[in-house]
Amino acid sequence: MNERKDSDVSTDPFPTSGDERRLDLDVELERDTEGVWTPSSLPSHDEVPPHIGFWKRFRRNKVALVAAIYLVLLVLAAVFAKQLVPQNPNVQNLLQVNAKPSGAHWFGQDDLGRDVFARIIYGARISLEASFLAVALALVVALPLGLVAGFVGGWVDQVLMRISDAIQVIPALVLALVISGILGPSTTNVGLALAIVFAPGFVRLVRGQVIGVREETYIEASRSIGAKPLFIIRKRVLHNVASPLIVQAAVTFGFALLAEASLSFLGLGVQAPDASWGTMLSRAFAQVYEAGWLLWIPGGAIAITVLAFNLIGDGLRDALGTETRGA
Amino acid sequence: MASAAAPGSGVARPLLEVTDLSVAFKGHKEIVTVVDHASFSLRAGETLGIVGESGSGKTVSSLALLGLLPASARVTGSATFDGRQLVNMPARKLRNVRGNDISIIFQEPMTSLDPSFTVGNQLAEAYRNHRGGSKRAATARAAEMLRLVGIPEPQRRLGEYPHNFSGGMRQRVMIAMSLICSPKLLIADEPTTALDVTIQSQILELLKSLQAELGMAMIFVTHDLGVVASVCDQVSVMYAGQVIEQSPIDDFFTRPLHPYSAGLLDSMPQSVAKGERLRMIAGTVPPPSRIPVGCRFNPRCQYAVEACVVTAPDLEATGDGREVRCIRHAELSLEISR
Amino acid sequence: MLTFIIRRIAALVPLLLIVSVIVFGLIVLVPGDASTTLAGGDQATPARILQVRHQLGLDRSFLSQYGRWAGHAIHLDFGRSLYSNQTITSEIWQRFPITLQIAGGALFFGLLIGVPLGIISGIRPRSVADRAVVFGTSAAIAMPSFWLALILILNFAVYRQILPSRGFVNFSDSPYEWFRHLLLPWIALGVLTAATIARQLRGALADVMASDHIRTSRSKGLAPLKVVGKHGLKNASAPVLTVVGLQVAYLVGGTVIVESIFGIAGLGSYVLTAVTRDDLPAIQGSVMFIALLTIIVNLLVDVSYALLNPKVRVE
Repeated sequence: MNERKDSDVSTDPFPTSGDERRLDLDVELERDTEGVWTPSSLPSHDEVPPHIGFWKRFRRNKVALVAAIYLVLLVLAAVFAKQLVPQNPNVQNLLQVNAKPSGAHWFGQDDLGRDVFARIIYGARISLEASFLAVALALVVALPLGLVAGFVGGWVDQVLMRISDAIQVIPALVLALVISGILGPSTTNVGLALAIVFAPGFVRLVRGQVIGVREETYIEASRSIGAKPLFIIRKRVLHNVASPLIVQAAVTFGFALLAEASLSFLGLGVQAPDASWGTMLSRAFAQVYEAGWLLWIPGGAIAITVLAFNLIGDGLRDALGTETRGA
Repeated sequence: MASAAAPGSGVARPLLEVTDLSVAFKGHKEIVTVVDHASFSLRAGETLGIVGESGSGKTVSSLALLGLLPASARVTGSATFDGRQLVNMPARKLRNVRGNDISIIFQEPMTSLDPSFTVGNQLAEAYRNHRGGSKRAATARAAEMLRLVGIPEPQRRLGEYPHNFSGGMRQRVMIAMSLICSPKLLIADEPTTALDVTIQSQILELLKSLQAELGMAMIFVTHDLGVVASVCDQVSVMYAGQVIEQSPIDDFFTRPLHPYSAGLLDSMPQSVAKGERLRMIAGTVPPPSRIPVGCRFNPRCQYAVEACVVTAPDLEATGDGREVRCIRHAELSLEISR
Repeated sequence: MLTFIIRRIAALVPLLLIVSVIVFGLIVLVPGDASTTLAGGDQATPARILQVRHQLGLDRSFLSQYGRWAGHAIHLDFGRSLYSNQTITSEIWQRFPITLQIAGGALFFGLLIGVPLGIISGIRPRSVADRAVVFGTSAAIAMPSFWLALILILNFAVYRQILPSRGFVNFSDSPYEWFRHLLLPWIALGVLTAATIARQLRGALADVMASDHIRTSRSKGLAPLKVVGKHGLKNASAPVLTVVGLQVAYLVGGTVIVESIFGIAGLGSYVLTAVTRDDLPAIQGSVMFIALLTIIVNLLVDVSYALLNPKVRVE
């Protein structure tokens, strides 16, 4: 603050106006990100006071809150599927094939007379399992690699980054398809394949945060004598890596769900008779001339769930005040 | 002082006459007035300094003249330029004024030029926009302007991008661009603030000599009284959105009328004897949402009496061509100790 | 500029090397004994197993296998498929133009829709039009493109029989039928591209429009069309270009599923067929080819980026 340039002192009659930026524009007109200039003395409507806790801030974002509630309910339904859904998702009823929704069968019955609602709930289980496996595995692999790349730097960093580049050069869906196809069709293999696809993104993110923190901390430490940079870095990195990683994980979860649906639609995920949302869609598509309406429910479930993850990602980003570097 | 450029008689109609100019921004809930009934005028060839701290409304006033404020701004009052009303002028007509009759240069030379186009392109564009003609003619004119503002090898520099120019050179380019259509008025909004001291004085000298050569009027928006002293004929002091004093430059520097003006002059390093501490005005300009009742300057004024806290003073003419917004101006004698 | 391009190309050599190792290394993922699995698992005859083993050189060390494969791959020779007598390269070349038409058309659709929406949105953020665009693009981004394809078929080929649900017609045979057959795949793939481009352009344009040099352009008396069209768009185009580059990878990936839905024999369905048949050489060849494709697109993006941004060129 007090590092005023000599040139200012010579002619500047306002030594009290401390902050140099205030000389920029008269009324402190600030250009916010939306490109509208507003006097900064007016509180911006989406500005949240920093002292408010995470949960309170997250709750302010009603859309993200609704999305979170939806996902919690979905996960609970998937976990307690047996208790919640009386119908067995794999029991056929060939007398009621492609039946429209009714009181007994909320979402109707598919081409083998199986209850669509039960299959959606059991399918959620499989879709969420595969996505969770993918994201968790990618995180487990990527976190240490990203930390190493960021801290060690040098050729280790170079090699890891080039490998990440190489993986990301192959379109995600193609890579996931090929890996899970070679491993053989199963939910676990889909999860594994997606983990490989998503890991480079996480590695990059962690590495970027580490490098950012490292540079900042060294600068500060060199200013204030006696600070131990490594200790500070360790503390800061944890904080600076965790927030963006959580946001990224939420968004990636949505991608994983989408990719899992795509792969099982193509016949690479869970095998019959078990249901996932993707296989339900491919069965429904086979019946498109007889019972096209069957496409709406599993597809809608995928779209809504992906949207929910994206919205939660946005909500988390706002609530955590995440600033991402170099990802 | 650039009094040489000022026309002799006061009979001539002013080139620009601003009366009761107000600017308000629509916030999310309330409406905030950042310029409140500002009035000033200047004659052809004359230079007016608008002085004030951050938050005084000086930049907003100048942007308002050319309709360059964001859509959320509401501008009222009157600004007659050469017989035309600028306030709420239809966009199409206003575009004919901008860059043609009135030009403006800004504080930030580093960012005020488009990084994606060559300097020559941007200069020629400004010329052809108002004058038309061939690209070749416009480019020749652009080269001529670069030479005029003292850029060496103008022909070659025309093909370069802004990032090839230093800050001072970019400000010269901005000046060349603003003058390419020979405007009658140039608004310079803190044109030297972002530059190094040596460059500052070069740019000031350049503007002074260009004004003498081209005979245009200038509005110099600045927080720097040193700049005012060297280039202006008249000075308007703004505080918290209001004009609080308007004086010819000589009178202003020898005998300011408003306590705030006196405070500004006192805090100029030049006015302080060696070894003495720099005097400054305590406190800061109140934001538009927290304007005090009564005289807006009263919380910071050492001469404030009870009446100052109660009644808002009007801008009064003192009879000798000066105006001041202070109920005690007649009884105060604010000689500057030099 | 030329040195810039040469340097970029030189930087691609190590990248290609690593990609090729990864692509070839896919073989380690084959469960069980590779030659048995690839020959068809339990149903494989001993003769077939031997043949596969020999064709892929699986009796040699990994390094020598890779060396042999990479040596050919440099000349875009990926060997022969385990299932057809054609070389993989010739099969890829047959199918690539079709995929190019699908992905290219989808990209065109994305630009056609995305750019105007991004401009409308970006020049007046928070306006009604902007809010509508933001809402619409959010929905489009969450919509799985393959589900969109199915819904499009349901509505335009099943309920209303306006457009065909499957197949491909060469442009040279009938431009009209070519268009009719490709329209739904283009939309199915291009909606996400359009939404992504619109979003990116919106942000970039809004930032640019708030910048000092736009204020300068306005102060010169330029008409809004010129301010936005010349100074706004050129400065906002660089980030959009980056997104377009990324979209190409998505579009190529998306053709796998879209081609399979619309029954089109392009590169995407070639990969899928190879995967379902455990045709490892075909998988490796096509993935390598696709990777090469994205690398080339990225290079083109880099170069156009430099053309747009005079600062990059110097560095």
